[in-house]
Amino acid sequence: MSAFPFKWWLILAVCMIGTLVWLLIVYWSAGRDVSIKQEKPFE
Amino acid sequence: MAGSFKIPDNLIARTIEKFWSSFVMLMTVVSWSAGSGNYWRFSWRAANYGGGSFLLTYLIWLAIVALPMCIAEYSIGKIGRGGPIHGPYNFSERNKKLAAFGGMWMAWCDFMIMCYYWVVNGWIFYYLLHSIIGTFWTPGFNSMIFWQSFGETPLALGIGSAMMALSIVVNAFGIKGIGQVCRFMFPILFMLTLGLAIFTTTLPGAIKGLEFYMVPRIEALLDPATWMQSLSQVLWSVGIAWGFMICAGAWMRRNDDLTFASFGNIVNDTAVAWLAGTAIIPLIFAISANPYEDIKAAGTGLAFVTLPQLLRHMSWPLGQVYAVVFFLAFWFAAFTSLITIHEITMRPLKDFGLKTHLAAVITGVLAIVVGAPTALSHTWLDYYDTVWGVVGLSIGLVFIGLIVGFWSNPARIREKVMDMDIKPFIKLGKWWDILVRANIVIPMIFFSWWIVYWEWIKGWGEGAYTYYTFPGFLMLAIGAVMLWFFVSKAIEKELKVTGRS
Repeated sequence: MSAFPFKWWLILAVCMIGTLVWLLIVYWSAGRDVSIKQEKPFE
Repeated sequence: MAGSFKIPDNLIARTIEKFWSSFVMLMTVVSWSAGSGNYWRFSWRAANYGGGSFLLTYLIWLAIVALPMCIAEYSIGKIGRGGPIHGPYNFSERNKKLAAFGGMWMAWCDFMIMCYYWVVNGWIFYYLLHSIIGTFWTPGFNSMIFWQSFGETPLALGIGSAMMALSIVVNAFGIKGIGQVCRFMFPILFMLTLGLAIFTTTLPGAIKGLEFYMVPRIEALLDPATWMQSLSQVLWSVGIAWGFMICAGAWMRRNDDLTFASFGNIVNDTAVAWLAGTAIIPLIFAISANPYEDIKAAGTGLAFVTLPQLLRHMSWPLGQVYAVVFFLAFWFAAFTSLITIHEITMRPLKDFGLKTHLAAVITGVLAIVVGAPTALSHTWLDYYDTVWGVVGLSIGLVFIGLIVGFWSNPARIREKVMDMDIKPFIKLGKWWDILVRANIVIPMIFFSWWIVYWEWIKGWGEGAYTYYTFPGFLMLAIGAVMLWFFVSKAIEKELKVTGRS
């Protein structure tokens, strides 16, 4: 761990927290009781 | 087989958007492909890796990698009826959750790339403004000092954020906003780039540059670096496996021909890149005292240091007109790519029924926060670029190959694609099935080369255990675990509500 300067762990933290927030929003947006406009599949 | 293809139990995309004309479809997809790389990467790569030989290898990769994979990616969206989660999930016949994970992997890479791409947009816009007010022609101007005094400052952060805000406004209107902007910007950028290319070839001394750029050097064809650099350019520039073509496929109406869109992608992307190269390389030869040195600059070095310095030596107002036209076309190309990459990151939210403008604001603001350090430090930007732009996207291409070639039946998909359009532009045959399957090894070859070339030959670090590679892989691994967890949970949650589980 000492091989890497603090900056790289900081980058890792920022990127992973950003990813986590984005994924949490994706998860939150799924499965809500909103109206479903169903598109007819191409037959 | 007409009409016998039945969509399996699926996720329903809750936001329905469609292209409203074939022209809008074509302009949107080619705007996606043509981005900043066409201006500041293609010409550098072509000039330094074999000139005409590079162009030849580029065309070969276009035919065997780009065209079949574009068609494959569009078909995921068009048949799967949805973006990065919904499209692959509905499209695949088996490993559906894994397919959705693959789609979201691409969207995740896009999200991380968008975090610094708004910064790049800001740089280009800043240079456009300074071209207009004539800063480059003031006495004592030094392009290197000018770049260093701007590149990592709060000003870059501010202008970049404004670009992201603009993207939020466009994307708040969904396909209407994106389509309108692309159909306006792409024709203009194409004409401007064509104009610059024609103008440059008339300059005295340009012929030497044209020779350098276009005459094939046979020995370069024997150098693996030529082949790998052109493959790298094809993968990046055409924009395969970023997930945009999945999103655009879902926008297509039944009769929108995805083989035509794919052909449009590779032809227009190559045309813009080639014209930009024709505008830049002969110009360097015509003006520079050391053209072979100046031509080695790539990316920021070429656009923000070499070109402004050279344009000072052109007689007024030619240099200024050139700069304004160049940075305007360059910014149009970069901005249309920013709004389309933004769309991919917000598409899962839209598909799950979130209002389009809300999805645009949430993802846009998050990208500004996560990307802010890249505006203030080039090290951060390079890091995001390497981890997600190079490694992450190469993995995305493997997923496209797996989803279409192995987790579905390519022959059946091909029949379905051919059946949808009355007269497809390209007739797909068995060759397509074979190429889609074979193309899962291409990114692996590319990736291995990249590691060997940069780590060992170019000596970036000490093998795999360097700051670039180790934390990079760690981030990709942590991200993959998080992605798998949240994507599978979101799908289960959605299926429960839509009652189709």
